[in-house]
Amino acid sequence: MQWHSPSYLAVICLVTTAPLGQVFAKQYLSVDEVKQVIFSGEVFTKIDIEVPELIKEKMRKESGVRYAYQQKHIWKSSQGSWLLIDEVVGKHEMITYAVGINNKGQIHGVEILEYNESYGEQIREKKWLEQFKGRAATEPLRFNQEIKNITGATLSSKHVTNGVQRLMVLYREYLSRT
Amino acid sequence: MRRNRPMLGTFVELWIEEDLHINPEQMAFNQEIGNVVYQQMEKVQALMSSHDKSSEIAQLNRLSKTVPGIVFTLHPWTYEVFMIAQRVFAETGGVFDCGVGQYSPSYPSKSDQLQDSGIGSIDLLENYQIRLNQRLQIDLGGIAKGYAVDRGIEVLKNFEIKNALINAGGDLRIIGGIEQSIYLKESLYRDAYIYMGKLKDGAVATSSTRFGRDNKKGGMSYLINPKTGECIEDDLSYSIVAPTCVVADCLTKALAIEKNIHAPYFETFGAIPIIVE
Repeated sequence: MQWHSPSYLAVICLVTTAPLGQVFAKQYLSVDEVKQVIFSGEVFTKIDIEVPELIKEKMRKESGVRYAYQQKHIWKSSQGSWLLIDEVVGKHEMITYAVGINNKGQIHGVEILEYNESYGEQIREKKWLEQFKGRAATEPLRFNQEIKNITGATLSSKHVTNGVQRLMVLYREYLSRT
Repeated sequence: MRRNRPMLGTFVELWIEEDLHINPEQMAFNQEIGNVVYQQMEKVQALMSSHDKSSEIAQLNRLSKTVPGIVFTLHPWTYEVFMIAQRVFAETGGVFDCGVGQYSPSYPSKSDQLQDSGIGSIDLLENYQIRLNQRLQIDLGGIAKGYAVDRGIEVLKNFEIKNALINAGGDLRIIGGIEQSIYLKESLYRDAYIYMGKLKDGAVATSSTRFGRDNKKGGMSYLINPKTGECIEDDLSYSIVAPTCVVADCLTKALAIEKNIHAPYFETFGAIPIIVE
């Protein structure tokens, strides 16, 4: 183990705080990759369907997710597996995730494709940005490269869990019957 | 390769360094390694979650209330976590105790609280057996996430991955020869980060009373002093840098409770305590 801290002081004071003046996205897997990650070797075909309003209402009620379902990515494999890609709003950020459902109707895998740490409104707020003026950062923050090893905030994955639930309603009430 | 899965109540990020000229077969193989890492970590969750009624922990909490002195065989991993927990309990003089579940706001009966005891009352026997001497309310929430990260790292080492990182909602471990910058998220509601330092081949964990308050239950923080049963209510961040994530995870609780960066147990475990105001 090797640890270099800027001062070796046990107590770091809040002087090196820097704002994130941009919205940045964390990309994990592409749509093509996630198919292979969850269902290795299966070939998927995109299904274009319009999910009826009645089903969407059921999805909303059972999962509690109010963010509208976009129905952009519904994929089915020749073996009868489904791959559904959806987005939910986390605490402040957009999260794109995939759920793989096997031909027995069981969840086969859940993966995050993209995590947008966009704190939109707060970032654009001038007053908020101004408080950081004149503060020196001891380290250049190249956010897209550097900010990946973050400790200190356990972001809850509850919204994704609810999102998975709404896709399972879609499967149960609609996809499994078509 | 970078992956992220919702797990352990948070997001678990996995990074495996890949060569710029990596071939598609190797890429696919790395994704498979990622699947194995996540499988092993999910197994830790299934064994040790106290929310899951079918987990080993839920079972032994229930059993301890039926027959005193009952002997129970654990999964080797759970047994290992108990060994580590008892060692940290002993070294910290009981400051770290994962038997504080009875103080949790969601615990059913307030009148039963004082009857339940902590990790120190369990006898560890041979062959992964333990004896439950008293009523228990074990909650491995303060240690299992760190242990899960270490299990994931073990998988990566077995596959001879050189440079990699697993970050389970802030409990993270890095292997290999690359120095990684570590940032502390300063606020859940603002995108501000504090640069903490550079870490090579080690782990960091943070416990903070800034976030994670159980607002539905009256805004209590989730950090509890096992000696008094009281919540830690301050506005600080407690981080530990340590060789393994399980040790880092446990010791953040001891640091939050005692706030003593000179406590001898940090050196015993080769850990560096950091308090951020």
